[in-house]
Amino acid sequence: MNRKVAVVTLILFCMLAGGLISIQVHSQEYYSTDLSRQSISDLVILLHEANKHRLELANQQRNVAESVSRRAAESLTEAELLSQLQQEQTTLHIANADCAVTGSGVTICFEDDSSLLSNDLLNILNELWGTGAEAIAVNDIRITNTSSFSTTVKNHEVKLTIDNQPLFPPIYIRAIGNSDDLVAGVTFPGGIIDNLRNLFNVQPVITKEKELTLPAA
Amino acid sequence: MLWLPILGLVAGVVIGALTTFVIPFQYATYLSIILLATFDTVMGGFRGLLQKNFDHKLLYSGFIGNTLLALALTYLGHRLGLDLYIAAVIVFCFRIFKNFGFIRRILLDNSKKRQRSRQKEDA
Repeated sequence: MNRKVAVVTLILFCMLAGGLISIQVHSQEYYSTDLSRQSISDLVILLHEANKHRLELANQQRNVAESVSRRAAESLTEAELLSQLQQEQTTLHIANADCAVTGSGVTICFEDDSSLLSNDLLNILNELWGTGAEAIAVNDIRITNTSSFSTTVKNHEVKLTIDNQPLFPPIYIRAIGNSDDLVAGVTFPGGIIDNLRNLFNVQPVITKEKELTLPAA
Repeated sequence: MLWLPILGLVAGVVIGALTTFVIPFQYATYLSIILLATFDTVMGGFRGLLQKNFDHKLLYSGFIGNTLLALALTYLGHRLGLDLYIAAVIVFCFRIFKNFGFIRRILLDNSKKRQRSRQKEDA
């Protein structure tokens, strides 16, 4: 009788041990896939691998896009080709700020006391271009691929310039494009606006606009 | 009869594998401690069974007492910023190896006795 009780007790404890082993293994596997539990060196390796993969995918995407445009060009009629070229010309005109642009978009306003630097401005503009902005203006100065930015500090005052034109606060960044995409592009967690808000207490006001008009350069 | 607990271990592993329960990260150490305490109890139980002095009250009280003490040490270690749980891990591992040594000796002695009795029977 005593031996039977002993065996049953041991079976129960063994089952408990087995269950605990499984749960512990499950949990450790889960922790190893959780990025917040990874060491910095592991995260760096993961980032490198992800970047490598991203570059490979970008190359693939470029090749596919080239092949698609080649096939499309081959199959287009003269009129369609002309209309496509006109569209491209308009896009280039907009990008070069040769003409005023009207459309929906977003306004990012930095108040008087914002200590915004040219690097921050450049990062915001890059994020806006990256999320599909068609045209951007900062305080009515249109941004093109030749625009230059600089920061000078005089008498403890930060002065921003674009193409050697000084920017006076409040600074308004206006971008034309899909307003939802543009807002999402600059406000994602860990992004430039998030960093400005949390690290430097710069509180820009972001407004979606139904209609914006940006002047020509 | 001794293989039944091993079957229980396998059943436990299977049941555990079927569940998708994940212990929160901050409690992972506590689960490890409970696991070691359970193994210690199992080894102690096997030893008692083989030495024919198995006492289930002693086993349960040992399991509960040792587990609670180890968990308290771990908690205290977390509060003090010291890895006190390592002390519990060392003690449990030491006891597991010690009991394993006893079990090994008992099984070897039993096998020798069986061999001798067979030889006597043959003679």
